[in-house]
Amino acid sequence: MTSRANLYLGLVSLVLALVVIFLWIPLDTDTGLIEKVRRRVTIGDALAPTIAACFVVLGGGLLVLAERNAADQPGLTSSNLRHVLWVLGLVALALLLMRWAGPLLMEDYRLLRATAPWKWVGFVLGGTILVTGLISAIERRLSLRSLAIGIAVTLPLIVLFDLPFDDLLLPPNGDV
Amino acid sequence: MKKFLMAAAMSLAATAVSAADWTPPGPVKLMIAFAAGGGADTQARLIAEELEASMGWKFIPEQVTGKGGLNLAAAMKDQPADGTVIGMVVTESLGYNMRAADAGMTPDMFTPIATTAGFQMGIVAPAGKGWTTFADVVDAAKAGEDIRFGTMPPKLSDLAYLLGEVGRAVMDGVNAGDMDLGFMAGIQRKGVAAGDLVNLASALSEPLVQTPDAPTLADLGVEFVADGYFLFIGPAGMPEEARAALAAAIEGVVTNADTKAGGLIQAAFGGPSVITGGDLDALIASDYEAAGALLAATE
Repeated sequence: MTSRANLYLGLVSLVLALVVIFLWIPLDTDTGLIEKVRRRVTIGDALAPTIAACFVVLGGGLLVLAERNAADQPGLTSSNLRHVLWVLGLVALALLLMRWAGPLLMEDYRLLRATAPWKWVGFVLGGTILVTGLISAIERRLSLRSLAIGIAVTLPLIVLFDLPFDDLLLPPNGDV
Repeated sequence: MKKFLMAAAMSLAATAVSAADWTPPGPVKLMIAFAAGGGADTQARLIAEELEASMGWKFIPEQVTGKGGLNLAAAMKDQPADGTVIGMVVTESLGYNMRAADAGMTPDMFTPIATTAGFQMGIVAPAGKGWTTFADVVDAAKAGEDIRFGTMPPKLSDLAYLLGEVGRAVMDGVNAGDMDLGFMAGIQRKGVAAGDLVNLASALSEPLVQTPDAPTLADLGVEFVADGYFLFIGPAGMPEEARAALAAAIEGVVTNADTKAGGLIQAAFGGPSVITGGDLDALIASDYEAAGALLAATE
């Protein structure tokens, strides 16, 4: 039996793109595709993302209409899906930790977001868990070695981007 | 009445004392509404640098550019109003731009803190055109010459449009380089001093510092002006002591020509122009009102 991976991928792409075009963009921008301000026509905020989403429609449409029964499409197993979900969940967890670890640990984190060592809490936790977790997902086991690599990758980023620049904030501190 | 006056005096005294004592509770996010390296950005960063050195406050500058300051306003309006978020815009951001955009924001969603300098907004032509007064431009237009009038923000386009009607000149509002005359907000200073550019008119309610003999827009029959200032704002509801302390600190830097910021403001904008407190509230309110009238006049 031919795999139906192209059909599913195409349908998911189409639905996502249509949601972007008809829900997300109209709700998140207020200027439309083009904007007329005082006798001058300018590009609106919605134009670029709408064009991008149209390309996703095109790609999804091609998969659904033209490539649905292609012979050489890869199969999709439940273990594939589990891996994708695991990686997506891990990235989400790492980003949540990066953003919220500081504010959860300290009530007035915003006022400490430029003060060592508090300002590194989210970056160290989120960064380490992201790298360690990705290694573990590939190796299918948790090891001290992967934890050490996670820390060894995160700390130099702090040294590189935070220490030399007085006016730069590491993520997520600019958004706190 | 006496009681009331006493209470008012006491609260004023309390404000004065607490403004002097006020210090930001944490690092101050300094939003800048214009591109890195420009006049607004440079002075905002230099003011912050000076305050870090003299007051021990910590600033974190951040560019929030676009839409003449409205993107900054939108990003700022829900931020904490404890003095840890301020931004540099121009008075036009809360005036014409906010009014014209009609994007659900009004000036009372912000706390104006202090202006630093006014624009020396002139109508400027290259010396090579041979024009020495605005009347020469009108004569050239009457003689059939197409005049390309360069304007950047929409408010200036509206002013150019009115000038076109009044002077019966044929004006093409363009936004690009090859132009016969245009609005310039201070950057013309060196060119005028060197004789490469001519200030044909002041777009302000007052004559230009550098070319006091050039007519004002009012002299040319246009009742609107392009008076504008660089302006620090915060979100609405900022405590009075925070507003007063920030204003005093900023004023201290920009009025001192020995600081880098003060020196820049002296060189580029002809000196500081600091408006704070109730005067600033009144200025912002009247700018917003005047913008409504200008928009109506150019519909």
